[in-house]
Amino acid sequence: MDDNSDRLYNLSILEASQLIRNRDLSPVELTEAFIDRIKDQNPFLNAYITVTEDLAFIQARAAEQEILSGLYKGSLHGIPIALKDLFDTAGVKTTSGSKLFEDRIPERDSTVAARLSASGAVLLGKLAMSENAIAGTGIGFKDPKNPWDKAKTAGGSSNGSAVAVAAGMAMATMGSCTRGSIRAPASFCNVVGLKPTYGRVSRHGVLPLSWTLDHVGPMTYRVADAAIIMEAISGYDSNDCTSSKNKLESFEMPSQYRLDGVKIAVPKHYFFNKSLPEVDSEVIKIAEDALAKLEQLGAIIEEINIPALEYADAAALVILLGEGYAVHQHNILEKPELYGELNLLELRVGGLFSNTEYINAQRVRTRLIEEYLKALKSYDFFVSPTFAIAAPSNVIPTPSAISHMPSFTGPYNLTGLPAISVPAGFTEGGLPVGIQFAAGYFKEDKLLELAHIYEQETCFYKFRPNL
Amino acid sequence: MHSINQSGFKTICIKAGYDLTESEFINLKSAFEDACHIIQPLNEIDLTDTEMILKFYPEIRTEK
Repeated sequence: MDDNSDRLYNLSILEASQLIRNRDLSPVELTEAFIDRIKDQNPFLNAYITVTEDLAFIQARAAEQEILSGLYKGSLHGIPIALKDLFDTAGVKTTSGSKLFEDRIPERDSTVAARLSASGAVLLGKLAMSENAIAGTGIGFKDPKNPWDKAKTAGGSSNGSAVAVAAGMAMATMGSCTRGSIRAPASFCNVVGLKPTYGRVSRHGVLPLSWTLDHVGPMTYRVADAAIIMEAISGYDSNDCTSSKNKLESFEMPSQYRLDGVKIAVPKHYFFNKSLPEVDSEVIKIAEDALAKLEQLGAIIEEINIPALEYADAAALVILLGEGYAVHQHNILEKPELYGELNLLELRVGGLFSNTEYINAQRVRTRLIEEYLKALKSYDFFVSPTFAIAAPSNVIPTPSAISHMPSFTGPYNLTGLPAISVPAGFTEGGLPVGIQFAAGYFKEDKLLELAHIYEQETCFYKFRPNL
Repeated sequence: MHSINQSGFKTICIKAGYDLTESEFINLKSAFEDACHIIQPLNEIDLTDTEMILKFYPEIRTEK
């Protein structure tokens, strides 16, 4: 565990923004600390594809001048952040971790990049990711290492985003998530990962994988930091046809850390089923401890049955790879040599599913949504482990979309419900494990409040990898 | 595990427009068989009363 807790790169956004606002910390000094940390750690961890050092210092100096002249923009002003390398950034290479796009320089910012920039955030660079946000490492790209154990995977596909936060190489990052690509790496690296409600955050200028499953969201050290990022990036965007006009309710620090009367549903038949393939009993034990903690805080925990969950993995696989193939069809047929072996293999499988399989997958999804909506009439939240196992070895490229391991994150991409992974403990081998909370549509404020209370009462975030 | 007839699989690959080497063909057949095993439940669930609704998220356009 890291004993450098006094270092600037270990501050939360909440802490740093208070220091910046009070002029006790300069955005330039803070940016320098992160650039130094990146130079120190990135050669071993491969979190960044591109480091925008010059741009970062230009933005940090501008932030410093603005703040000194009384133009404080808010909690992200002067805060160093980074983006997964599928968010378009004007004038900065955006590769999607793929040889297909290795020299691609967008002319315009994605909506998320533009909103973060308008909030005064400092862009440190663009982050490594699984090739095309599916699986494997792109030709000529490096696989990020898990800072808790470099022989373990950092997950995927937003692996660079999780590694950068865990290793103190960014105060917050943005990831994208089609079946768990924000929450799984967050769980493997002991950071917070939030997948918002479908439609909450614009995907304009984000390279797609699956139009009906793709979401984008923040990855941070602390839950309150995720709330700060959400304030900046949420809101209607006419450039994204799936964007919602539903307004984000502000996250407010709870006055007391209690959950009296809060009703939590646990579909144990799926999320706590040790007989499912490859589910680790150590992970289940950590999740059961989390449930006990929530109950101790006053929550009412009840076991429920959501029958369609048994079909969720099948539906998610067909939709993800089917839509993924449609996105990539032209390039797969014309330039297959630009894809990594695993990426090409899995996308080609997607091109072989039948119309009936795709339509039935969407019908299963309809039923899953109906069952969750029914449960939401009686319950406020759902709880489960984030992932079935702690970080596995990185010898075999992970993640693979075609996996027999149940996905605990996928159901919330299928339903579009908001879900968050929060650090929940460690295995005997010292690997972090996350707990997943999900809430009703557009209830990110309540979800963040629950996650914040749990975080405050357990404090697993305090453990940082010793690098 | 699903086992798919080799000539039948070759036909669907040609229909998809894939130009595969022998090893790519073998790997793809194996991965597709794996995927078919995972998606088998889609062939077992009774979806008689369930439509495919393109508006997946009923609240998404809610304005406050």
